[in-house]
Amino acid sequence: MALCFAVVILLVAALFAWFFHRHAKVTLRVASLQGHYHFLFPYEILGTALTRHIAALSAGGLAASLLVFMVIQRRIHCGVERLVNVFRLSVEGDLSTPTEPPGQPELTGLGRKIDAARSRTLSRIRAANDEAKLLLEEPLSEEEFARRWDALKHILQRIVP
Amino acid sequence: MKARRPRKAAGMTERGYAMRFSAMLLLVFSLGGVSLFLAFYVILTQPFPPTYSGVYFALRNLSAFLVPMLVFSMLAYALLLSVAVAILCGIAFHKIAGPLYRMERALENYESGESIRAVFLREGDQLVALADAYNCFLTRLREGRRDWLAVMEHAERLCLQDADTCRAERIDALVRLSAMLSRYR
Repeated sequence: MALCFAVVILLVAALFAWFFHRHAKVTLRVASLQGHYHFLFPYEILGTALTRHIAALSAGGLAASLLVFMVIQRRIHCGVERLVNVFRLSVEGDLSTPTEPPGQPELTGLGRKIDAARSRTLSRIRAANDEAKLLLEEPLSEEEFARRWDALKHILQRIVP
Repeated sequence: MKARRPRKAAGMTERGYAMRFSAMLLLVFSLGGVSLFLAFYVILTQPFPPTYSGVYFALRNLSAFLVPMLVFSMLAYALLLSVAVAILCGIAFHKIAGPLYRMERALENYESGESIRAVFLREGDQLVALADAYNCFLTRLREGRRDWLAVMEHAERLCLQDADTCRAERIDALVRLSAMLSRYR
């Protein structure tokens, strides 16, 4: 992120140098050819242009940096919004829709971890459901039924311990 | 670690957070601009020689001297501002990177199979909505698990009666449990 800002600053500084140099070169040449030198310092020749160019540099650099910040913030916002929506879907029972968040790589990695956690939870819930169905459908002896009943409870207890 | 208080922020990051960062950027660029101006002012207020030819050659030399002066000053300006903005980014994005790190640790804890803990953010952290959504997900799953186990334990309590009632209650509990679990897909 800081690299994006550094590139912007370098670019704006290069533009400043280019335009100020072009302007100053012409102004100094014209001044040297005037013949009557009524100035004591070079600042009297270049001061106005320098102030104007530095103001433009600061304003341009600030605007470009704010734009970069907004873009980064927007990317983070979109990615996090997707993650939040996935958690909301999960609350409603949807544990299989992939997260796939857009934006920053950090959010993509987090999305993969969230998917892994949801997938694991879903597999445990499915295992519990399969066990419940098996207990319902299979003709089991009392001992076997009691053993599997306890196993089912154990599976349920392992979900979000 | 302080417990997080409820906040009004509806977005992923607080509005004040962006405003603070923008204000800090404004300050950095203003200081950069003033420093650059002062540097040029010091260079450009060197007095001209008192003679006619001296002024003429000083002006011509200044034109040639302008390129290295601009290159050096711009490199220094870009370096200083980049360092300042990098520090600013470090401070500002810490409020976003911190919660993401905590979320990653929380998910690793979730995967480990150990007792799962909710995510608590520090005061001033961003991405509150994400931590809230995760905690809400955990709460809903825990409520679900509590309900599933309650159904089974209710059937077990009735097992204190005769064997037929016990089996019938357990079958009934399994039907209800299966229906509750089937909402997850």
